[in-house]
Amino acid sequence: MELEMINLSKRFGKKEAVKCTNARLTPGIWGLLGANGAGKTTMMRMMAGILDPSNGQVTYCGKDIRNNSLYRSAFGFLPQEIQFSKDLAVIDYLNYVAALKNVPPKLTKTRIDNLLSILTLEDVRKKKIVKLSGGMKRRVGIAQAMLNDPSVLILDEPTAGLDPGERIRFRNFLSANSSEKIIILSTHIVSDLEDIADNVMIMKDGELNRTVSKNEYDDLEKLYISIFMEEINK
Amino acid sequence: MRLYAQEIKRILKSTRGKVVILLALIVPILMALLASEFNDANYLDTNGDIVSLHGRSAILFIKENSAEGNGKVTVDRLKDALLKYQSLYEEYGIDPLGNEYPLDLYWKEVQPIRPLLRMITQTYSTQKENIDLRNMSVDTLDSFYEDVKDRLIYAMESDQELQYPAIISKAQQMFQKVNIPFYVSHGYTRDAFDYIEFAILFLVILSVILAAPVFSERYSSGEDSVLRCTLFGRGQLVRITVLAELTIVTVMYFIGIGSHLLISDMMFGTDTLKESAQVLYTVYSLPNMNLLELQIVLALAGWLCCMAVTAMSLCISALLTESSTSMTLSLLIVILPTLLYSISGGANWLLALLPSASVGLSNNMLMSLVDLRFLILGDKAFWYPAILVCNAIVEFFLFVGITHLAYSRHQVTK
Repeated sequence: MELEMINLSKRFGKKEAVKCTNARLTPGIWGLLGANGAGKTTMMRMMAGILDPSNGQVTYCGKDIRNNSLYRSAFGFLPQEIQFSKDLAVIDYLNYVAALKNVPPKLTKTRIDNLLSILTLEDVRKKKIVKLSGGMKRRVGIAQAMLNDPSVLILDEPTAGLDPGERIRFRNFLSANSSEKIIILSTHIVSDLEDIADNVMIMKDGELNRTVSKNEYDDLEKLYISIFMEEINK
Repeated sequence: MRLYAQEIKRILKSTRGKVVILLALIVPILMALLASEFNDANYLDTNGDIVSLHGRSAILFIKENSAEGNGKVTVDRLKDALLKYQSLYEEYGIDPLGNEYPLDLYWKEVQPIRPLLRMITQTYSTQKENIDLRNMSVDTLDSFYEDVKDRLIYAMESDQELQYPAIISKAQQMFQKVNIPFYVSHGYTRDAFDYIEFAILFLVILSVILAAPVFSERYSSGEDSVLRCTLFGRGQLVRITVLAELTIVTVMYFIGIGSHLLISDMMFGTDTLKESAQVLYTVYSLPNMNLLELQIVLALAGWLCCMAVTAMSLCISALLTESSTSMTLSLLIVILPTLLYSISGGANWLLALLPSASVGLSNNMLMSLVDLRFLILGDKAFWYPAILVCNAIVEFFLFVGITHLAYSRHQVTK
């Protein structure tokens, strides 16, 4: 199982948000690190198949992800910003997404109960999502992404809005659920990736500047800063 | 089926859905009650005092005093009505149809023959001059139904918009199919029919309110990013969403218009629905229908319009990313035919091509049916109500198709 970006680029008018990017992702946790505006979200959207690239393609197991139902049934996505229908309760929303993901009806209840338990949302299952705190809403977003037990999980700034305790729980949750999955986690916060990311792709000005594996970095923050210092020194 | 059930549940659980459905249940009923409430009748009691009746009691009083005049509009009955009018005029020296005529006599003698006298007046008056019933020979009425046909041609030839040979020929063919003799069953009023159109307009507006924000709200909230990524989040989701919206709108519409008609028919009495459309409206109207059939046609045409307008609203919603813009534009298109009709002063192709062309005030389906409205294309004449119906069907499929394309191809950039 692999997810591959081949000569992937995206242009919005004159601005090239993502420049000719190549990467091959295998199971494990992949961090995508970059400052705000580096092109992470655009890249995530192209990987999620909701934004067509200007050039190049994203393939899953060798096939273009566009109109690829195998890929769509095998992945979960948490966008950077998500608002929920103001009239739906947590359980209604998850049931709705489960139907869209074609999770078998018999499995749906078990999956939802399990996720609500892991993400400590059991007490609010019947509460309307709009009435939840920012952190809880984020967790509902994570739950919907995980509903189909995806092989590819794309999380765009998943820890935004979470308090420190929730961040730790989330990291542990990801670590525990990462086997045989490609998890791509985009963030601009270095500590979100430390210790859990098997590989970190550092993105800068729409380009993948460097990809480092866990063995190759001792101090990710130092590495990240040095990349930006190189640019300033130039 | 599971997704469809979820989508229906989603609509029914939304505040907007609840409010719209509640209004669709209540307001048409109130409109039906209002339509009957506006009926008045004055009569003299045994002491000679004027008693005023309103609402259902007025309807019952009018029906009771008109019952004698109900039945087929034969030439003999028309002649009798004319003779009676002339004798009443001669006897009292006052126009029996005028306001000064004694009330007790009016209800007893004139009310039963009033629809017949109106048909005679409509048939034998010209645009310039009203027929004087006092001096009219009863023998003229021997050829009443032939004269109605001539009156139809005269009406068309006098109208600049209708004086094309193709239109006149088409209208003549249509009138040949109208059942004669006409049938009078007094009671139902034109106002009550106007209220049916108001109810349809109201239900169409509610449909727009329900459908216009559907996709644009998903775009603007970012929810679309999640839904679009799911296995059924594109083609299937748009099809199911459209189907669910149309289901809710259809159920809502038929409950709304059904309850309106039920209340209205109960108020006026179902026996009145046997009356020919030509009796209540113009004697040379073209629809071969009684009032019950007219109600059914209006309800079905209203539903088609509702479907077309809902599809249009969903289409706009799939094309725009702001729900408020989608809502405003959709509502504007609903009221546009009324504005265009009042500006242009008549039917035209531009108006007919709008999905909401058959709802509104003067431009609505009822007026299009009972007035003489035709459009010309090349050397062919087309009956305007038929154009409206065909257009609604074509546009429904067109807008559903565009909605499908627009949503499936939408790119998440925000």
